[in-house]
Amino acid sequence: MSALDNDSRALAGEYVLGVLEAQDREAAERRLPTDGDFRAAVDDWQERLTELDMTADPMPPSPQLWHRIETAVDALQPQARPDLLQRAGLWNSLRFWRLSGLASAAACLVLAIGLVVLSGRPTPTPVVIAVLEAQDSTPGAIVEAYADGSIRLVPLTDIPVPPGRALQVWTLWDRERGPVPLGLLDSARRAVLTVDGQPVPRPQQLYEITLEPETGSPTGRPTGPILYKGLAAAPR
Amino acid sequence: MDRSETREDTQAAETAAALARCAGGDRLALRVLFDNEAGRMLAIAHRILRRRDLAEEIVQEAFVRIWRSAAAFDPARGSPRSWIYAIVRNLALNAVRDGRREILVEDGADELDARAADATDVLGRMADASALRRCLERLDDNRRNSLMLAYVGGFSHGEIAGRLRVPLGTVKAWIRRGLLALRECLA
Repeated sequence: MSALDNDSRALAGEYVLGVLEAQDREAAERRLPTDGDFRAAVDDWQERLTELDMTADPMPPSPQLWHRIETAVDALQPQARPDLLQRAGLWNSLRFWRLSGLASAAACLVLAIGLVVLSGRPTPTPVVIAVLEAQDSTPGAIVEAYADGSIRLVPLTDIPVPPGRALQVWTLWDRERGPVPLGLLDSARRAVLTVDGQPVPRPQQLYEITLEPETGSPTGRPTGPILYKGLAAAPR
Repeated sequence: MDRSETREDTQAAETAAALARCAGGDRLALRVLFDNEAGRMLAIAHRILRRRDLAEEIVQEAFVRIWRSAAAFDPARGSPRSWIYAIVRNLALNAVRDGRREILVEDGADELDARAADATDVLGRMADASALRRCLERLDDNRRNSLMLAYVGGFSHGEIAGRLRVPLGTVKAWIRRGLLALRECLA
């Protein structure tokens, strides 16, 4: 099944070992969501090498550790509740998204059409467009998604990025599979992110931007706060 | 199957169930995860960081991350434990890369020795019947040691090269060829 060459196989192993330099690590992370063979190779290494982790003799945690974890999780609650909702509930709540999607769709068409007209690009029409909004509905960025899997991100506002952090763009086209990363940006700037192997984007597909470590989410899934999100709609 | 293996299996199953419940926001499930996994997570982080306080910090961060990302765990991609341990390893490696450890650890040589000793000690602790062990034992010493230093001790290419007093390119080649040989043997 695996069509990987030796370079990619070794790269998958080096990625799991953690020996890649930042740039190669990021490149590997970008490849994960789109290259199923590569992802399978990474997962395979991870699973195999867990056996080495199992040889570690458990150390008794200090009595304060659980308390510190509880405190940290409690401190998260005001954000984490919506966060959880977004992960478990919102991701899954079509009704919610249909409502907010309709509102976004209206806003995004106006903005996006203006944009396309202004830029005057003779380039292909996006299949879908999404306006990504903050929790208070402030629009933060537009995503134009094209049939070839590339997206064009246009920020509508300055998004502050603390040192050591980066913006990561995600989409959710299959709830079974979960959100897949589309790219990593050091600041809110216009960018074309090309991701091969994506299915053609569809209306109601979710796009979002999260704040992640500067090398991207270590888990391949969003780990940081969701800054902006929105549902795609097809331009008329 | 001896008693300890049965116990491991039970714990692994509990961990899987607890992770699924964490995804639904169940705090008791997080406690079950902690009881089952915190000790080993601490040991994994300690192998890389060599400092108990830093290792505890990393485990704390890992639990917050697990809590927040539990719903994103995809059982089709691997076992809950490999997901959880990868989170700990990655956070510990990030701490090493950020230099969080270097600032606090002054006796560099001893610390490296301890990390290396842990890493090379691992093979003898694996089950006799383990395919991974058999395949690791077949590798030549340099390749095997480099792989173990990297995975278990969190050593970078550069650190391994310094420790084994060989050029960087040599270590990169050992690791790369070691991985490919290992994969072939495991296939």
